Amino acid sequence: MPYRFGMARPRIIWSGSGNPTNAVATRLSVPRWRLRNALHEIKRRSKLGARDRITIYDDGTVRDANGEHVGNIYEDSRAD
Amino acid sequence: MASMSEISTRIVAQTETLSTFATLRFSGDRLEPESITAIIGTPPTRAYRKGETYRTGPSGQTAKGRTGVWYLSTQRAVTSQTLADHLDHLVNVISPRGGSDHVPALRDLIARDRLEADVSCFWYGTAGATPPDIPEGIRKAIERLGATIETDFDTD
Repeated sequence: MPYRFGMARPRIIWSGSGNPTNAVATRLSVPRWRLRNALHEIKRRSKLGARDRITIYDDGTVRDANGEHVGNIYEDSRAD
Repeated sequence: MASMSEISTRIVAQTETLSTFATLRFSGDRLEPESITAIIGTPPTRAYRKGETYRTGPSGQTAKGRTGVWYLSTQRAVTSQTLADHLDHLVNVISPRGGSDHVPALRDLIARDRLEADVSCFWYGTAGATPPDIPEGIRKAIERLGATIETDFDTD
């Protein structure tokens, strides 16, 4: 989500390569399989490798190592 | 008709699998998405040229393509909890059963535009579940395209 004046600025809850910890899934209130599922889809679509560094925010936003938006956990995880 | 052993294997796969899907991706700085779609005849889940801005999801957020990408995901097209069914769907896209084989034309395009092709397999299972195998016939069909296969398997 874009940051707007008056809204709480999204906070970083994970930054690194590899797979996020269970705490990240808990913080986003999604099962870990949904988090992994969404990250796989986002990285594939963005031509990022499994070991590429990403940053995840508490609103679900995912950015690459350059700070570019590449996806959102809530939008990219299958809800069913 | 499937044997009792195959049916049993599939039931176990369904109960132990929390999520599975596969993706087919072509990428490269010279990639023209329409060229891939014209050969395959199936629209991509997402495609963009190098430098092009594309939507990352329903909210309208955008990203800029670092390279060209043509990407097809089975996540919503195939509902099966068996990875082989998702891979079989992709194989049927590049080489339709009872239709014309798209692999030679795709290989020509890959060579001409210096593209990369790869297939990824995502699988997430319950704690202690056994990750699936990739059937040899499917592996060969993907390798015939010159595509690499990546696996991303994990459990609770």
